Amino acid sequence: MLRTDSELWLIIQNFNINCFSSEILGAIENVIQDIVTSLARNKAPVLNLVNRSDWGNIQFKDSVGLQMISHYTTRKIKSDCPKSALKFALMLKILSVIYKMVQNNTYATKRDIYYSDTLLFGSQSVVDNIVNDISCMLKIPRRSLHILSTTKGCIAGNLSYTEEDGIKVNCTCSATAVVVPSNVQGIRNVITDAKFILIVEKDATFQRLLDDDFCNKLSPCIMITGKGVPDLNTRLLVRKLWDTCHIPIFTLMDADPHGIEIMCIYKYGSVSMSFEAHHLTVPAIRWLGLLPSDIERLNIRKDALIPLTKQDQNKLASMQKRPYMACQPMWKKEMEIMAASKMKAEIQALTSLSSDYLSRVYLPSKLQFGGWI
Amino acid sequence: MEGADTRTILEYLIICLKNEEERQLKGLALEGIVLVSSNLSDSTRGASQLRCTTTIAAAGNFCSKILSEQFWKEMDGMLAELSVPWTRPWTAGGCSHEPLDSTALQLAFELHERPGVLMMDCLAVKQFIHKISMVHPKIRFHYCVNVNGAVSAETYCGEKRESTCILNGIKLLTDQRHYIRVADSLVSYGANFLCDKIHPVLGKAVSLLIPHEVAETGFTGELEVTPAAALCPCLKLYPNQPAKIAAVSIFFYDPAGLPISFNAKGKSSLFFNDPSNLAEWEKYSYSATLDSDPGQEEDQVNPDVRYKLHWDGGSQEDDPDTWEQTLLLFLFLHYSDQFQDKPLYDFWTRHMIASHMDQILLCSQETVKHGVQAVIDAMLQEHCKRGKNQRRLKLSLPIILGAISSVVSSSTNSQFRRECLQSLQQVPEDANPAWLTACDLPTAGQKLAQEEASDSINSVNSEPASLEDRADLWGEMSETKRRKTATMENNAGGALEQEPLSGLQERTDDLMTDFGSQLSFCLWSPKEGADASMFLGEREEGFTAVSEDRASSSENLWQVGQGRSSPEIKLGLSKREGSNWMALTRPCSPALRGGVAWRKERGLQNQLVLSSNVSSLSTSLSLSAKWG
Repeated sequence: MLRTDSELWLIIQNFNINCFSSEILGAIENVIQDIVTSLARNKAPVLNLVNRSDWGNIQFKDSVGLQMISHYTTRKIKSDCPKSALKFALMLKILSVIYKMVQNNTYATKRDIYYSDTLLFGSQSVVDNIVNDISCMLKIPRRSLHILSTTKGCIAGNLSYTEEDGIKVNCTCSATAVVVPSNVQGIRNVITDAKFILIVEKDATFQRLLDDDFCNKLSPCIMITGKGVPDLNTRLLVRKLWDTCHIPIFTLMDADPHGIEIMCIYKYGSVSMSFEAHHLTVPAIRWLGLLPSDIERLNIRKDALIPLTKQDQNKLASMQKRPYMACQPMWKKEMEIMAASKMKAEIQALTSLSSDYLSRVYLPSKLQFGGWI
Repeated sequence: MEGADTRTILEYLIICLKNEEERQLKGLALEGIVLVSSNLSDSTRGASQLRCTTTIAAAGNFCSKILSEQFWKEMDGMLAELSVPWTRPWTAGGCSHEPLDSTALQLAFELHERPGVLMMDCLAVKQFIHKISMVHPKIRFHYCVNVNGAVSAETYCGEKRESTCILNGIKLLTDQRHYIRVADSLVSYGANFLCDKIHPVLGKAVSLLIPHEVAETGFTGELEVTPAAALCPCLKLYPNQPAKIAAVSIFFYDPAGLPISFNAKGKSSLFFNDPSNLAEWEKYSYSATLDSDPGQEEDQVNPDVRYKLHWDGGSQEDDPDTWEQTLLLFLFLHYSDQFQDKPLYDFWTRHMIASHMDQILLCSQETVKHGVQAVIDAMLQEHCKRGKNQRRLKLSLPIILGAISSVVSSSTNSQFRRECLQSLQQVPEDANPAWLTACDLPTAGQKLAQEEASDSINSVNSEPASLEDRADLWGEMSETKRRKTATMENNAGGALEQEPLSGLQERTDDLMTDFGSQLSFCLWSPKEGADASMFLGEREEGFTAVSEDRASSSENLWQVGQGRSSPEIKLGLSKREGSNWMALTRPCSPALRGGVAWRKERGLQNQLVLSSNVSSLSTSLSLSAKWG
C-alpha cells in the first residue's frame, strides 16, 4: 500500500518518538534505580549535577561557540543535607512529572510545572533551573523531555513553514508578526526567498521595522526578535533557519553592553546552556548595528546618548575578557570605543536624525555597503 | 549542721588555694588532694541518733603554700565560731581508699544527729565537693562515708584524660557525664557514638552594681559575671536527629570557684524566679518554668537553679524519637578591687557576696539579663536552625519517596520494577532511624509490592463465599488448566499430566507437576484481618508454570517447603507460630497431598501458595485464609 509523504513522515516521527521516548524513560529509570540502590546500601542518595554555569567547564570553539568541555566538574546534590535535600526532592519530583508526560505523550511548559504546586516550588526560576539541570544531567534536550518553553519571540518576513501538527504558517503578512513556534524541531517544509535574516534585539525596533515594511522594501528578508534575551525556541529557530537556508544572519542591537551580550548569546551561546551549544548557536552571525563607531560617524547628538552606568562598565569589562572576543578583533575595537566614550546608545537614537532613518537610510546602506563586522 | 561546717572548712581551704594561685605566676595551678571522710556509727546518746565523726585532711604542694601562721590563726578563729568542737589529730590522715602518707592539714569533729539529717548532710557535702571539683581539676577530692562499716567513697578529680576547657581563665571539666545521665533510650539508638563532651560558648563579662546594703558592710570590690552556655548532650554527630531542650541548669561559681547556692534556708532567688531574665523563650517556641524541686542526681552535679522547658511549637512533644537536651548555663563571678594591687578574695568577701547575691543580681538586672540572653540566644538560635534544617529534610523526604514510587509503579519495564522492589526490600533494619522514619521505606516497599500484587491479581474475592455454592472446584481448575496447557507446556520444566475431564474422583491434579518444581499459584494476602476465600478455579493468571531455574522474579516462583526454610503445613492444620496463620475451613480429602505452603517474604504481606500433588479429590475444596 502506497503511503503519502505525510503518512510516511508521521510513521517515521512516531518511530523516532517511540525510540527516543524509551531512551528518555530508560534514562530516568537509571537515575531512580541508582537512588534505590543507594538506599538499599543504607547510603543517602546523591545526584551529580554538572556545574553548568561554571566558566571552568566551558571552552570556546569558533565553529560552535561556547560549549561544555568533556571533563566537566560536577557538584553533588545530597538528599541528607538540609541545604540540598529540597533541591534533590524537587529534581525527583520534576523527573517523575517528565516521566509521566513522556509515557503519556503529553507536554507542559515550565510555567505549567510551576503552577502545579507553587508552594512546593517557590518560584518559577527554581523550576527553570531544575529543568535545565535535568536536561544537562540526562544529556537530553529539554524539548525532548516534553517540556515546552514559553516562546516570546516573533518572526516576520519571507518565510513559510508547516508545523508538526500540519498547520501551515506564512510569515509574509506584513501587518503582524508570527510568534516563534513552541516546537521548532517539528517544523518542516521551510520555504523562503529571503536573502538575509535580521535579528532585532528589541520588540519596539522590530515593530517599527514591521510598520515600515522593511522585509519587502530592500530585498526579501526574515526578521526575528527575541524581545531581549532570547528564549530557547527563538534560538532554536535561528539555528534551524541557518541550517536550512544558509543565508547571512545579521544582528541589530543597541550599542550598549547588554545588546552586545544578547548578540553573543545568539552567536556563541550562553554558559548555562553550553551543553546544548550545537543546537543553539550560529557562529556565523554578524554584527550589523548599532555599532559604537556609528555613533560618531553619524554624528548622533549627545543628548540622544546615555552615560554608561557602573553596572554597564563592569559588564563591558567582563565581556572584553570573554574567550570568544579574542577571535573578534573588530568587535573588541568597538567595545573599546564604547569604553573610552563611556556612552551608550539605543537604536532609537537614530530617530534623532530622522524618524525613519533606521529603515530608510541606516539599514539599507549598511547592508548595501557591507557595514557589518 | 555537720554538712554546713564541713562546707565552711572546704570553702576556706579553696579560697586560700585560689588566692595562692593568684599570687603565683599565671598559669601555675596548685595540685593536691583534699579528703573528707565521715564515719557514722551508733550513738551512745540513743537509738534515734548516730555518731558522726568527720575528718577533713589535705595534702599536696598547695598545702605547703597556704599553710602559714596567718592561715592557722584565721582557721582557729573560724573554727571557734562553728557549732561543734574541732580537733587536729596528729595521726596520719586519709581513709582506707585514699591513704595519705603525710597530711599538712587535718581537722576532725564529732557530733550526734538523727540519721536522716546526717544522710542529707552527707549528700549535700558530696554535691558540694563534686561541684567544686568541676572548676578545680588539679585538686583531687575524695569523699568517703562509712556507715557502721558500710563504706561508699567517691573521688572527684580531673584525670589527665578528662577534657577541660578554659573559660576566661577558669578550667571547667567538660565531660558530659558530670551534667547529665545519658538516657537508656539514647544508648539503644546507638548513642554510644555521641560526643561525650560539652562545648561551652563564652559570653561577654558584665559588670555588676553593688547594692547599698552590701557597700555599707564595707565591701569595696567590683564584681563581674561571665556567662557560658552549652547544650548537653552534644548532638553535632547527629545533625538529622530531632531534639528538644527539656531543661536549663544553672551553675553559679564565685571568684574562688565555689558554688553559690540560692536555695539556702528555703529561700529562692527573685532574679531566677523570672525565666525571662535568661531568654525570650516564646521567641523560640519554648516556655520555661522554675523547677522548685530539681531533685538530686547522685552521679551528676546538681545545678544551683533549674528550669523545665516546654516546647510550644508543634508535635515534637509526641515524637518518641526526639532526644532531650539540657541547656547548661555557667555563671562565673570575677572579683577585683581597684584600691588593692592584688585584690584578696577572702572568706568574708565570699560570705558577703553569697548572702547578697540575689540583691546584686537584681540591682544589675538589665545588664545581667542582656549578657546572659546574648549567650543563650546563640545556643537557641543554633538549636532552632537545626530544627529548621530537620523540618526541611522531613519535608523533602516524602516528596522523594513519592517521586520514586510514581516512577517505579508506572514503569512498564518489568526488570526495572523488579530490581527496584528487591532493592527496597533490602533496606537494612538498622538503617538510620531518622531517615527511615521519615521515608518509611519498608512500608514503601510493601506498598510497591502490593501494587505489584494487585497488578497481577486483578480481582481478589474478599468476600467469603459459601462453601455450598462451590461446585466442582477441581473441575473448574481443570478447565482452566486445559486452556493454559499450551502455555504451561512451553514454560514447564516438568511433566504435565493431561487428564480427561471426567469425574472428580478420578481427577488427578494436573495443575502442578512434580512436587517442588512447578509454579502453581500464588496470591498476595489482602488487608490485615480480612477474610479471603480464594477460589482457584476463578483465577486464570495464576496458573503459569515456570520452572525454577527460568523464573526471573521471586514473586512468581514458588519454592518447595520441604527441605527449605518455610515449613509446610498439612491440610487440616491451621496454625504456624510466629507468623500469620492460615486456616483451612474445610478439611480436604486425605488424598490431597502436597499440602499448602506459604512463604513470608521480607517486606511483603504473606503469600499463600497452593500446590498439590493430588491423586484424587472427593470433595470440593474451599480455602479460606486469614492473615493476622
